[in-house]
Amino acid sequence: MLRGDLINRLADESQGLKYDDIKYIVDVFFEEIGNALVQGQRVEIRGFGSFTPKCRAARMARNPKSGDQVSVGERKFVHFKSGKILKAASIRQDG
Amino acid sequence: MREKSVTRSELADAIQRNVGLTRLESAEFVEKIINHMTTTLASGENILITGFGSFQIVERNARTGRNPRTKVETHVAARRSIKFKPSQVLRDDMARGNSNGRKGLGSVFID
Repeated sequence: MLRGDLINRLADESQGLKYDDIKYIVDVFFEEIGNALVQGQRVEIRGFGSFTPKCRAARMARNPKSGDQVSVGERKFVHFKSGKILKAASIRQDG
Repeated sequence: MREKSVTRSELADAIQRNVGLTRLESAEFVEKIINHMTTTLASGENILITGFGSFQIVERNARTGRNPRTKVETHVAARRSIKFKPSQVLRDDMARGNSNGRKGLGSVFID
C-alpha cells in the first residue's frame, strides 16, 4: 500500500473531503511522527506499535575488499516494535 | 529523564492545529489511518510511505529457542514480523538532529 492508496481508502469513507484535503491530513500525520523522531522523541501508538529513536555508537570497521580500517561515525536508527493488536493480527500464521 | 512519548493525542493535535478540523474529527482521522495500516499489514501487504518509511512483512523461520533463564529448549514456530525502515529523507534529518531544516507543510485550512 502506497501513501496514495491510503489516501484513496480514506477518501472513500469520508464524504465532503476532497482528495487533496485528505492527502494533507495524511502528510501532517506522518510529518508529526517524523518530527518527533528527529527530535529524539519516542512515538507510541497503542495497539499499532512504537517507534524509538536510537543511536548506534561510532566504531572502527573494515573495508571488506581492501581490509583497510575505516571509522564509522555515530548513526541514528529507528526501532519499531509492533503493538499487541498488530501482532495478533499479523504475526501468527498458524492462528 | 526521557520526555513523554508522542501518542495518538499529539498526532490529533497536530492535525487539528494544521488542518482546521475539530478535535474529534482529527482524532477520528488518526484512528482511521492507524486502522488502515493495521489491516493492510495483517493481510500481508507491505506499506510504503514516501518521505517517511516503509513497513515490511518479514517471514521468520521456525527455530529452536531457549528460555534464557531456565535454559529449557522450546520450539518457536515460524512467524511473521514487521520491519520498519525509515526513508533516506527521515534518516538524513535524524542524522542532522533537529527538525528546523525539515521541509514543513505549512497550514491549510479546510472548511
